[in-house]
Amino acid sequence: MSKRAGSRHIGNLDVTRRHVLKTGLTTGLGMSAATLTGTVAAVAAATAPKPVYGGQATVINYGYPEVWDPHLAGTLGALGSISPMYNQVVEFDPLNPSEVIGDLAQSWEVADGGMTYTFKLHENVTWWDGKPLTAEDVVFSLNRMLEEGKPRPRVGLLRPSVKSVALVDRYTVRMFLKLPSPSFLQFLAVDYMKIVPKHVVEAGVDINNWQNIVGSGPFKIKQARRGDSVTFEKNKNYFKQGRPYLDGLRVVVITDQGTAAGAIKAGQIHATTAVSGLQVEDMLKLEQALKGKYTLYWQPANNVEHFFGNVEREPWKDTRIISALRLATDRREMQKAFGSGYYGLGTPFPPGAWYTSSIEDLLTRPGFRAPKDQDIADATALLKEAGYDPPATLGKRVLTVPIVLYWPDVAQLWTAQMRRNLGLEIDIKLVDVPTAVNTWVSGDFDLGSWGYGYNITDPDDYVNAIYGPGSRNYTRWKHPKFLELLNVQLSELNTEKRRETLGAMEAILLKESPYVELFWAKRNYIISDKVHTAAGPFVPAETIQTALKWEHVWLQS
Amino acid sequence: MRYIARRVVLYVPMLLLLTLVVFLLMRVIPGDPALLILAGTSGEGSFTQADLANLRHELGTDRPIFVQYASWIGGLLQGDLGMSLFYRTPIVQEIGPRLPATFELALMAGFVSLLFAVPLGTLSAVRQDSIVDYMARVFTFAGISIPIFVTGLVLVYFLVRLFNWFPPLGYAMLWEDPWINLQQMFFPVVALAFFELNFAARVTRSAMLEVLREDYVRTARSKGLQERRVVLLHALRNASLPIVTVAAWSFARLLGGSIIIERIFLVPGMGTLLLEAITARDYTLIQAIVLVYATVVLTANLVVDVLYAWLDPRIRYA
Repeated sequence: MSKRAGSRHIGNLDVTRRHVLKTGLTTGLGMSAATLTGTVAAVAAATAPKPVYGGQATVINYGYPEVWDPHLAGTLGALGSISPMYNQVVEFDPLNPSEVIGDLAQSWEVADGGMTYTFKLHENVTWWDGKPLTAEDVVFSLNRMLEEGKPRPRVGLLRPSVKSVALVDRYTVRMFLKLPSPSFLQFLAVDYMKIVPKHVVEAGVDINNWQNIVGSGPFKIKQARRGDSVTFEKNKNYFKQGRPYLDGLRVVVITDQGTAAGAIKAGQIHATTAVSGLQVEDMLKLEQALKGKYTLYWQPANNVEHFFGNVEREPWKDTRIISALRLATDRREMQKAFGSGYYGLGTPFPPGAWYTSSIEDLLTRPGFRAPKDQDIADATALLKEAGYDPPATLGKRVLTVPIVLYWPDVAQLWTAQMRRNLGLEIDIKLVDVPTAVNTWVSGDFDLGSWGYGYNITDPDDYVNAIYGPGSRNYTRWKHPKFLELLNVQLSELNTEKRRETLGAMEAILLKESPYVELFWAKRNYIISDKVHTAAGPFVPAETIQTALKWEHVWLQS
Repeated sequence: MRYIARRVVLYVPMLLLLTLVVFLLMRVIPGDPALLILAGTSGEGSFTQADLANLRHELGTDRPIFVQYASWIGGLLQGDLGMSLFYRTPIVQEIGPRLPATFELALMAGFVSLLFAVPLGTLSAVRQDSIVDYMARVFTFAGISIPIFVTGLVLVYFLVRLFNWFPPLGYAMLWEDPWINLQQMFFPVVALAFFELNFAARVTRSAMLEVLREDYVRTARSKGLQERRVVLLHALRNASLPIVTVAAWSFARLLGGSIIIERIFLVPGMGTLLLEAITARDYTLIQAIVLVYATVVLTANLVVDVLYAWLDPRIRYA
């Protein structure tokens, strides 16, 4: 059994005897070091000027919440305004975003080889109506998230790993997993996994109406006006002492890019969420124009964009064809053309992730080489092998493209590459976003184009969603060996062994992926230099769905 | 009275025809509210074909179009605008809070435009072919040629660029915080009024030029009346007929113009709601908003007709 204080993380859990011994030793050494460090820190804190907390922060988000119930929410448009009102059991540390720390949980224990998690909750948490937040609320909320047959766009991410939830005592909750999942705790830390008040929901109150919301979070909702803004005031009874640091928060919805840029330039905006509607080029211009007043922060590349075929339909049943198109795709040119040089190369796994090959290594592999001559020759040979000689005998293909962001431009460039490198004719069919998504879901398409921004950095999210049985695998690709390996790594707590398994999966993808990976987009924030945290300046989260409570920042006057 | 009654009787079939056109148009354009609910406007959502079929059934969008139309009209006749398909709230709750902002914007812009247009048009007519007239004509021609959204964007650009100022964010109703409201409304009103005043000024000029050539104006002058008195009391009063028409029409045009201006200046009015509803393919909400707009426009027309009859008795007896 390993016990964690609320402020530490289980990233990729290795629950072995060695791990426990190592943890004990580290804890002992850590405590001595902490005493020393604590003394030094105390002296430094006594001499350093005390920060003046407070301020009314204004944040731009790209959309107004389409729903207010966190368990029904599926977009950042909703989450950006919902998150400050509720708490989760655990959360990603906003000052050290790769770490999971306790939110309502003050500590937790892992037992049964990672199959059981016991969370000890803070005892001083109250709902806005004054009632105490107890384990009953947590059990109720977790069961509500797991409820089968109900729409649970994001909180449903817990379903594959959680078997049941039990109440131990007034402030203790136990979760039983279906398998020892290395990603469970990270999923539980995503901002959607909010604890809602049992007494309110059970009374039949519609928490999907903002006026009915009873939260426990750092900010209370004061007013919400669709098409305009959501205004929050500080929760003075918040259980975390001294927090939130801000006096108030306003999330404004600005869809017009010129207006958004104008408001930022005029100093009316203190921060944006990672999806503000402003394009990379606008952000870079703003950063340049507002040097010394605002800083541009980047998340890691966490959103892949790709083209794909439906492998249940001809000619894509033969995956050699999509492999040939991937080989002939000039991904370096793609990377240069979009994101002003900030986007990552279109690799099967996120560039720089702990479980992927290095970029240097990948650049020597087929499909990534420069110049492209050998890749094009290989692609032509592959098509010939599949019975398409010359490649143009593949016939005119149709690529369905959503009219959003850079997609029409990306499609133009790619079809030009296919014409140039293979002599293929591909027509572009532009459709609105929901129609595009419906096309992928129904499977009624020739070639498609879409992407995925993961919730957590663990491969259990991205790899499962895109290549496994996850909801975003619109290709219908079911590779037996890949799926077998996917299942192996799903319950592998040893990071090294897991990395090996994922390496084997990557090798399959480099040869037989059902996608043409184009690039990895990076999300960004523009933040006023007045925004401060205990760590100094603002710290960007690792994904767009985390660290959205704003309880850890203040405005330096 | 018969004249007014005839106008009122025409009002109802016109509205009905309009509802039918809007209803059919919304069904012709691509898109599906059920899809938008499930996929989200950003396409982040995940769903199955069964989910989609269930939701279409729940929303009633899988019924034949004429059944949907009949059901909507049935509700309307009972004073029920229905439920928003996307937001799942009563449409009255969506429209109610938005109306004041839009009406305030349109009324203020209408007032401001007339405040400047009538003196400008009159001056231009009185000083015909002078430098003042030429300048006024160039100004109004240019003003008419510039689309409203361009004026809006240019205003935002100059505000930020030159004055480093932007209206306060977070809309406040006039009765909630008049000072904030006026700051927020000032520039959208300027953008809208600028467009409208040029048109009204040109109409005023033409009407005044016509009247100033009339015999009774010459008579008034020959009687030795002061020029100011001749222009303001004799000429302007008689030239007011087309100006009144323009004023009533301008209110309708301003409502249309406010759609894009509200978006640029972040005014949460009917215009932004309409844009949101179109994005969400919220058929019922779009129909209701268009119905409100149409009612306002038709009412404005009716008022013009009545005013016409009141100002010019010849129309009543025609």
